[in-house]
Amino acid sequence: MSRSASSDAKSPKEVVRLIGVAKEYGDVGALAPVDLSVMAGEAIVLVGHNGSGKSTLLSIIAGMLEPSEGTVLVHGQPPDSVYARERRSWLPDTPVLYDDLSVREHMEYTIRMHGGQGDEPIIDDLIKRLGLADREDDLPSQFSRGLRQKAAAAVALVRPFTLLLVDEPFVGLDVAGREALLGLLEEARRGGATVLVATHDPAVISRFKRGLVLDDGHVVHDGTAESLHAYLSADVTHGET
Amino acid sequence: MLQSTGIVNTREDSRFHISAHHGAGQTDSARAAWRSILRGLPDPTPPDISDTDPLGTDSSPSDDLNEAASAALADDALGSVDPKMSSAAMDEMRSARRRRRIGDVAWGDLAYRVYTTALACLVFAVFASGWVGDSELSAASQTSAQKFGPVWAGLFVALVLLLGVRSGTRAGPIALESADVYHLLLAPISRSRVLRRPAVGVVGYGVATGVAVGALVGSLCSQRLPGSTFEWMLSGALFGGAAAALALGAALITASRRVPRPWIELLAWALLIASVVAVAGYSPFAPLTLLGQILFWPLSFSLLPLLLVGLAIILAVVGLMIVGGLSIELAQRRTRLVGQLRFAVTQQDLRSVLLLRKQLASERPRNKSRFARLPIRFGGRFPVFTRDVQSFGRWPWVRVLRVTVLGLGAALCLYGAWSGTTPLILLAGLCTYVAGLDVIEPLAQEVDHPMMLASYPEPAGVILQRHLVAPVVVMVLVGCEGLLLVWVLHPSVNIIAIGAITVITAATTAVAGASISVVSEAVLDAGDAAMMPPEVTGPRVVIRTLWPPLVAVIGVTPILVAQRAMRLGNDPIPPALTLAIPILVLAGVVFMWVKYREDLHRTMGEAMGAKT
Repeated sequence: MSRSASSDAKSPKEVVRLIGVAKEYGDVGALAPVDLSVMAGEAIVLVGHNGSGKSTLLSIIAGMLEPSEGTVLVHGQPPDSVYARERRSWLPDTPVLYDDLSVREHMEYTIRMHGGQGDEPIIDDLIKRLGLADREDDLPSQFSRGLRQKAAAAVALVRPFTLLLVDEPFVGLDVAGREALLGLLEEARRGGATVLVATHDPAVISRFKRGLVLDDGHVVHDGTAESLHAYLSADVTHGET
Repeated sequence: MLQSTGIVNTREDSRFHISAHHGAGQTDSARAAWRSILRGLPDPTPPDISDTDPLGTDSSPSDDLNEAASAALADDALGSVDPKMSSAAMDEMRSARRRRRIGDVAWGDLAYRVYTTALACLVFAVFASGWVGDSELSAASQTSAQKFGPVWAGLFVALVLLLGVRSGTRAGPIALESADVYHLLLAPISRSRVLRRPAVGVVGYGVATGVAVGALVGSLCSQRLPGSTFEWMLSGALFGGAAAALALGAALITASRRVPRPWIELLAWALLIASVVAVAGYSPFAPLTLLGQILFWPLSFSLLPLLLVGLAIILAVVGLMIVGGLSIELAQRRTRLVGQLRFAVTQQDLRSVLLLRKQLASERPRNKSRFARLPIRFGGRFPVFTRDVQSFGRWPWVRVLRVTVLGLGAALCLYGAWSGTTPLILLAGLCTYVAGLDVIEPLAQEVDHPMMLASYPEPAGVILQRHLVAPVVVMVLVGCEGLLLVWVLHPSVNIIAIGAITVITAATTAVAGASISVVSEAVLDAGDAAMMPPEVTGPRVVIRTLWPPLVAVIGVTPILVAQRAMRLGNDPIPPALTLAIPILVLAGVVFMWVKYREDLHRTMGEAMGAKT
């Protein structure tokens, strides 16, 4: 069955749409006008050097930053609408957690804010899989960077979502935590979620189907994982020469 | 089909996209596994942990469409979250956290803090009361108070209102917890609902503070003006409360972004200018003078000002209703910076306070310098001066404007002091001090980076002292601009000569005062302070806080001796010159202190160590 034929029957939905989105801080441009379309179920990796605009792009889609110009739509709605917030989960590069709530309390709270009861088995499952079983009743404020990252991941993944935005998720994680998180991201995608991940980790890039390269705020490459590898290899070779 | 299972089941099926076990082979098995977990049942299809298919690369040829369809289904199925449930969860968690916080309070410490605060308030009230005096003013002075008092009170309200609006442009006055921004403002719940309670708290606290301060001011007024103390306190409380409500309401409305910010800012500036014009005597009335009349009700009662009280209440209520429009980007930045700012204030760390305040106002250095690069030979011989000039070239416009306005303000204040209003000398000194804190930025940057400072092949004190040269030059230029303004107002050789002397002394002492603030470490970090009781650390903190601005004020005093000589019919220039010499010596001592401060501390520390 061809894609177009099937599209007539059930066309994949556009989850994220950016039209000429740019971001400036004073006289410094963080993101040049970007046009981007992300369809439902896609798994996309964002790569680029420090300051290339990856986090800015994700933060804009997450509704944390307001674009200086352009339009952002999440599921066809503004990113700060309740509709978009209900469907979008955001795991920032720096874990943001309450000082006075334990890991489990964070997860219960988050799940209840999204219409759950707070006693769903997924809480135990995520705690176990992310290796937080011994620390679930401890305060994340007393955790190491890696443990805080795991706790933040658990909080981001425990709630319902159809769009998952993840910024530098593997910083500070040990090998087991990294593999567990990769597995969870994979399962999120298999469950139908759209996943956007910004990372510097080259080992992770090949695990995604589509890759975007940002350079000084511009999207300079948008293609498959293979083409991304080819592009990055050529870029490195070019840089060396 | 999942779609046919009804909204509740469908939500349950599609709510969570993470399967219960790692690496389930296919989407269906992952879903099945998840359903089992949700129902607390054992997983019918044990996972294959060897499966490490990359994200999105395990698809069969037609898998794209399957994935897309399942995601679309998930989106359709993800029904609206019941806002009541979310609100209930938020309220419950807030209550639980509050109970926990109360449980963690050290009541002994709290009682001691209340005691020291009450003691400080009492000392202030007694001091202010003694300063105001208790003999009733003459009839002429009472008439003057009745005429000009409301105008000055209106100017105060206009200033507070402008501050409120400026705070609103930076998402003030609310400062949420950082985690609240992420977990509540990004949750599917009305932001108005999330923000209303903290906003009510801020407005309530602000109005209560306004009422208390207003009542105190009223009480002080009652000592010298006719009318009962109760009447004065009541009118003062109403005035203070209304001013606070007006400012906070305006701040909330500005922060909500429902009204274009430029219009609100323009209105606030227009009200301030109208009040300044009224104070200067060019206009008998300004809109906010009406509110100022409330403070002087015991002298002249009118119901008309109640209109503005009503307006203040309406603004506060409207602000609370539309607070949900707050910018999450600004809220996030404010949250982060206000937390640090509060900590810096408790540490009496002025440098950090200024730095954070600039960040809060998005006051960043320009990316490109305004000045051309200085010749390489010059830069090689005077690297510190060159570095300072590069810093000044990157000032944002708002800082250029602020220093210019402060220079002009100081000049106008000194002109006012020369004309007879002596207390304006204090305001002039404070203006130069604040400007000094801006121009001392390169020195402050050096202090902020001790590792770099230690890496230079010269003693740190020498480098710090060299950083004082360029700021003095800039302050002299700022002073010249003020001098020009005074010359326009009053072209006189005497004034220009005295002004020139004052420019030199004020420029050096402003930099000296600012350098004391910047180079001195935070008071409470000084180790030994931690062991002292508040009765000792309190005065110590006050002295260390007041000394730097006092140095700046001393720098503008040649005007006073010149004015005194002029009144006595003598030549005003010699006494001004005579006073300028010890002032410059004082500045020189401070500059030497900057150079040898570390050596002095080390020597004293060694001496103390030897004694013990």
